[in-house]
Amino acid sequence: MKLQKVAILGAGTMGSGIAGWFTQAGCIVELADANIEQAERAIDNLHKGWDKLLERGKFSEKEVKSFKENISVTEEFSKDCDLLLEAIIEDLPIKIEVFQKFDRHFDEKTIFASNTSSIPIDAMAKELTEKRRSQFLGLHFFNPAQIMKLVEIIKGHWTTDDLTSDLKEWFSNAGKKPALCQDGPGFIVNRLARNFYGESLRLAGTENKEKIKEIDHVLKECGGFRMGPFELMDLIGIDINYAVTESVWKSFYHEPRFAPHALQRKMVTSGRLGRKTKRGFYDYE
Amino acid sequence: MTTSNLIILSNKEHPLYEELKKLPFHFYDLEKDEPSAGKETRYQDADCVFDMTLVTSPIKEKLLRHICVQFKAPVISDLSCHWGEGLINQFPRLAGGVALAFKSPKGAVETFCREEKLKPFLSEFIAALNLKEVSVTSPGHGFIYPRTISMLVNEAYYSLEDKLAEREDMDTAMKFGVNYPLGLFEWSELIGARPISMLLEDLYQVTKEPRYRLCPALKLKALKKELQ
Repeated sequence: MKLQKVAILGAGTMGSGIAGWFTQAGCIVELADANIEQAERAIDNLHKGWDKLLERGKFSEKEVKSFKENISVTEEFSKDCDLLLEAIIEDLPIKIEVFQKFDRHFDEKTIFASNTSSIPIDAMAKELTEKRRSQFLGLHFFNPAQIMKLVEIIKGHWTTDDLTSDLKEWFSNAGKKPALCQDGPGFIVNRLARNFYGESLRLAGTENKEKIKEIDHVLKECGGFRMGPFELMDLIGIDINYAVTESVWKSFYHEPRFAPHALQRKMVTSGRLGRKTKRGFYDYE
Repeated sequence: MTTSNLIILSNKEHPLYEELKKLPFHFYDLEKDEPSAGKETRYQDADCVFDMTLVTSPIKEKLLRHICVQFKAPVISDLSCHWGEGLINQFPRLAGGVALAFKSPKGAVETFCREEKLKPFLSEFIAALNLKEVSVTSPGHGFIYPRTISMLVNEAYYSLEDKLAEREDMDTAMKFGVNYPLGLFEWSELIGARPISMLLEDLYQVTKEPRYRLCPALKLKALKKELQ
């Protein structure tokens, strides 16, 4: 398999990071966004980032020159792209509308992928033509996409085995650590990591600062985790973490293993969302 | 350097059984030795008794009752798989606990000690195992690290049962997506299925909360190990 020309839709944090990574992997990247200025800003930031990496000796002048040449903003994607990857708002009707529009626009061979972290792949695929469904899958990158090695390759009901195994090989050769999984709530990471937070919240029980500190300390010292669960929730945003927990819990028909905790809700309703509000499980002032 | 008069009681099921046997302390395998049967009196003069058995909670309770009668010395027990807080309240001679049955990728172990004068013995014991001591304010129910990692591993097994992904893919995802030091299946190999299943079954038994239901695949793995 060869991915030479890649179309990225959505120039937010994830979209621009993914566009930057594909460019560094040697692809020609076309970046589009509903707001063209947003896409231009994203490319400008990528250029600045590569300049900094050039100064630090991470990339050569030749490499940076080719990265800059190989990425561009577009208002209309080339029809012959090998891959279309969507990283727009997590809204199913909008995603379906976008994919249906592009189903008509792109060549038959173009692979369609969504970077969704919460929407079932099949819910999007079923709205597309039969041919496209077999080439539709999830490609879930982790933030920052240019640094984090993992990409979850999510196989939908219609996705062919050949496509997922070829993509796994391609990403592996391009320096990523791909993990193949089926279409299920939270995929791998957002499902398996839930109890890092959930059980820690139950261990703390209430807003006990000393206990929270102790849990973080033990899980770093004994578990070898880089950050404790409460430090990490503060970094991610307690509201974001709570929303993911609720979404996975609901998708599993209120399975108690994924149940949110009252302490999360208390933090969210009081506006203490973590680092971004300077108050969370810890204070940052 | 003189070593303290520490007595270690263990059984083969304990993941650190072999390491415990080699320590420069008096060691008894409770499956074949009866410490109080011989004429030796050292168990009567012990500074501290370390109960490092891996057994189910009803047996642990029975054992602690027996040990507290047999020995005059204070007892520190491996409470990884038990409601430590409850046992500490139940047995006044039970002065502390450790979470030794749960191997740590960083070679650290959670400890709890409610008597200041016993802390040097506990530190001596942990240092002899070449482990780092991480002291906590309560053993809770399964301490902090054992309980959290058990829930994570249990979910990995549920995901395997659901055919979400292969083990290797799930391990890759956790190591490279959220920087875990080990994949959850690698972690379950490090610790062993038996301690994890014992802790979750005990949590379920005590709390009756369905979130602690043990994944059947993990239970089977623990049973296989038990039969070996």
